[in-house]
Amino acid sequence: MKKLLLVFILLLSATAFAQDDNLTIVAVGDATLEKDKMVVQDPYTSGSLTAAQKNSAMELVKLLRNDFAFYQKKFFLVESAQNNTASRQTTNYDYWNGKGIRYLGTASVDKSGVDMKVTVVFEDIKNRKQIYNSSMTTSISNMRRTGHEMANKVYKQIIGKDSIFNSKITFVSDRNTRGRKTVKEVYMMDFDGKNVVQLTNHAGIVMSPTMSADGRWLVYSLISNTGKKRNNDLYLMDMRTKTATVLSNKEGVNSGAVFLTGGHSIALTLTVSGNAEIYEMNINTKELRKITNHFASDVDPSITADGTLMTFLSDRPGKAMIYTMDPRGTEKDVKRISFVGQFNATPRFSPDGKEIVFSSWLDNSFDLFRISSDGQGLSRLTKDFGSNEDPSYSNDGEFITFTSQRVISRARADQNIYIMDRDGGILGAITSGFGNCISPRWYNF
Amino acid sequence: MKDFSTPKFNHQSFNFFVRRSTYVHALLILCTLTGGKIAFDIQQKERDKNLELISASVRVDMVAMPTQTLNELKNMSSGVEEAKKEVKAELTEKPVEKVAEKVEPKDEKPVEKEDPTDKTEALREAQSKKRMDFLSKLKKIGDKKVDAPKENTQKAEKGLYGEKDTALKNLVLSGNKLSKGTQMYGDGNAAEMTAFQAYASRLPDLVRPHWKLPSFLMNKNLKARVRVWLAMNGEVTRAVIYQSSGDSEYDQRSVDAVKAASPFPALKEEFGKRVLNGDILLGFPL
Repeated sequence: MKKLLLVFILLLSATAFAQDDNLTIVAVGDATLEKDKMVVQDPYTSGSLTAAQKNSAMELVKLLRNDFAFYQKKFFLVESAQNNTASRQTTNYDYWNGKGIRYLGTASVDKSGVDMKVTVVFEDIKNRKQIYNSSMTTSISNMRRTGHEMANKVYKQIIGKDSIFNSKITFVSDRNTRGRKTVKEVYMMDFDGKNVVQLTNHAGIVMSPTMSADGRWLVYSLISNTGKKRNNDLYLMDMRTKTATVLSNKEGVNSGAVFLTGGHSIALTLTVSGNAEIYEMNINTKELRKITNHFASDVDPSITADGTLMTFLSDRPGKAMIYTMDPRGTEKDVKRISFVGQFNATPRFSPDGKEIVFSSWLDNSFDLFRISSDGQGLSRLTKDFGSNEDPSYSNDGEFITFTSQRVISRARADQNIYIMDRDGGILGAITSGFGNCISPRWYNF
Repeated sequence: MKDFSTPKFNHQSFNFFVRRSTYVHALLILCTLTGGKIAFDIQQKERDKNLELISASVRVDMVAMPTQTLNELKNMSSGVEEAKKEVKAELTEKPVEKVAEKVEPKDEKPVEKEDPTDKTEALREAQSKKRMDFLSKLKKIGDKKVDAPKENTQKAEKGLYGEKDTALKNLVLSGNKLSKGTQMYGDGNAAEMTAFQAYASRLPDLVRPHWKLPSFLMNKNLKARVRVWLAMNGEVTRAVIYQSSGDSEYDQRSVDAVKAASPFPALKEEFGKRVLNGDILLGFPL
């Protein structure tokens, strides 16, 4: 009896909890960006170094400063006064705290046999602890690579993910052109424009290079200057042996290739069926599978890192528009992404697959735009900056590289490769005086 | 002596009916609760469906490619007042220029007939000068290099919003205040509500200076709400996440911002009870 009454009362009181809280919401608004101040001091060099080695030490420090300066939204590089001691002293946290510096980096270079021993130490002043302390032996020629590796490790300590410091950019340049014989070859350089290396040597016209994620294979289209047939063939180069073999020489265009996840097959555009379609080709068996199957032209594939989504350019609505689909099927889940634009081109996915950057013709030139992969949030990235094409995201999604054409005179236009951050803040050109540089692709092996 | 024991209701049927009645009433209450919940859910679904429909139709077709870049849009919101002043200045200047232009050709015409060759040469010079300027401008654009580290050491950091923008932002934010819905309980008094609202609207200005985000959290459209309990002297006694953004660091930073802003202004009797009760939610950003 009493138990029943108790149950009864509990049930009644349950209704009291069902009422909603009556709270007032007040908006605080947008946050301010937190940029950390960083100082990289001039190098501490030992007297026994040669002059060339001392220069190399200075180059290392400049490289560290330049690398972190790329991330303008995260770090603010402050100039430091000259060193007043011969070697690195223990950090005076209060002194640097007083100046508002959050990170302090020092490089000490000593002699190690013929080469140099480089010790880089980074301190977190605010939390009063060392976040990086490492030594590496390196030669003058290897100094930049060592510097980039160390900078990447420091960045990873601070931010928690990989930076662009170890990344490379492949591109096509026509600097070997002599007179009327146009020659375009593929080159590779560090993300900061240094260390340019020539990869192909066909003396023909190479276009749209692409590399596998592990850096083992390079695929590109070549219009050979030798031979009678001037067909656009697809070549595969083994980066270990530097030998190139023909991957596809079907009639018409064999171009615009991009590696699919796994590195065993590529998605490419072929016009062999009469109109441009995107196929999947296994690079070992050369087997073909149709990914698109439409009477309109479908070109320019770009795949997300996990291989589940592909974006491409299609003519099906009458104008060149951007579409996405599942590349694992044929005409599977095709979705139209762009609805405006006179002429859209080269859609490319960001590494997380959430955004697509593309080039579009507007106001007498090409400009770069960004749209999210579901079609929302179309925004413009460049304006009044020459004609900008062929964008490619960096491996951490923070930067975009592209080629920009400026008209110098009525007969001459220069194309160079630029880097900007993902919101359109131009950092600057990374090629200069190297012919016309186009088709940049960003990789981190 | 007869011992008096409290008479117990041992009547069989009475007990039976009481038991039955309890069960029936309990059942009724359960039915009311579940029925209410189901009705609420259905209503909510309808509302959500309508919202989806509305937002689908509000997602207006893009009629044209955007003309302003992202950075231009960001700067526009902060430079609105300055731009207005500039436009006003321009308007006052233009008519003066026009008048001057009109006067000149009239003066020159009689001269023209005498020296036609000079005029054309002058024109050509002016045109070539313009071309030169244009060309050198183009060359300068291409000269920007990545190598040279920027000499920004002297620039003071203003963060995302400079001083010139605070007035505009305050205006915008005071409009962003969400007013509460119908009051279910409590002794809501008109005077009490406005005093409470006035106090609550002072809090964002005190919290915002402590509200900072690293760049990797900035453009993610994350939204968190922190419920804050204050003591009578304005100190934060408790601040917890009421609605999480999904990112633990974002949540932590919003709670830290609230705690760093403590103590807030002292509470007054008229609205103190509600604030003590944790009726204030701070939205980061909304």
